Amino acid sequence: MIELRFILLWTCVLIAAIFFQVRPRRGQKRLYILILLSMLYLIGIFASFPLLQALF
Amino acid sequence: MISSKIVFILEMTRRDFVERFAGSVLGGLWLIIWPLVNMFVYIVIFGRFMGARLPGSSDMSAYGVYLAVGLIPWISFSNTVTRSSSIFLDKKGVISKVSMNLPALLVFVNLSEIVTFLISMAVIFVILLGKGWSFNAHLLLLPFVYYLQQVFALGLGLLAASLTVFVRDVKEILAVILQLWFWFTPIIYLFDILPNFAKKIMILNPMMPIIEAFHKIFVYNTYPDFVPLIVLTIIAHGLLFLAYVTFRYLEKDIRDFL
Repeated sequence: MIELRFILLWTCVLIAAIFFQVRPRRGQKRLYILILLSMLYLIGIFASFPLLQALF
Repeated sequence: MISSKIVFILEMTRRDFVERFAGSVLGGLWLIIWPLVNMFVYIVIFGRFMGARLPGSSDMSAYGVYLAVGLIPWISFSNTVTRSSSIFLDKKGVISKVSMNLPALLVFVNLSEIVTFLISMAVIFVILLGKGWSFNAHLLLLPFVYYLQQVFALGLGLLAASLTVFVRDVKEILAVILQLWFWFTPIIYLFDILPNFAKKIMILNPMMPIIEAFHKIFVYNTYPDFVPLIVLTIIAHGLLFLAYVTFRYLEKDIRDFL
């Protein structure tokens, strides 16, 4: 299922981003980046579905 | 450090369940009974007595599914916001004794409601599978739509919780708003039956894309409209950011008041 592969791909990107961007930071900055990553993750998921529909 | 915070949140979630059902005979079964009773009442009144049906269907069970998959996420959203709004006051005994991260309390409320939602949805899945419903790719979106809803509820809850400490009326005002919001969201009725002016206003309702997504996934077996979901993602995270900034600004006063 192509949708599932894309979800897994985005999840891997999110985990990598948390590991490299959130983990080294402290305090409020960490939370702000987490909120931003969460937003980008959801936008990525919601935007890739119609793209997949159009492509496949 | 992070693991100790996670353990704390999980322990608070576990305690929340234990406290909520301590001494009750049916215990956790109340988590299923309450939404089922709610659905039963609406299905009987609107489906049976008022003859509400989905377009192109004479089957009352189709309307029942429409109602159930809209009502369960709404109950979860509404409970999360309501419980979050008074969480600092409810837990002031603990807050004044132990040094803790206050927003973590809202995360445990959210987790507790997620568990309740999952149990209710499991019941709906069993009923749907019994009626011959089959899993499809659209269902993959469900966790993300629900996650978006809970992020929105977290932002709204944190903002309300910060303000409730100073103005107790916020909790009551929120209850009134949620009641009006429920009837302003197409959970029980169909969006298409509304007059044009109401449809134009309804587009501004932030819960509309979420409930519509649940309906499309379960009832119509199609993908939801993604543009409103993307817009809501930005709004929900913006609100969460704003709520956290407000909380940080008021944190010292909140602790003093408690």
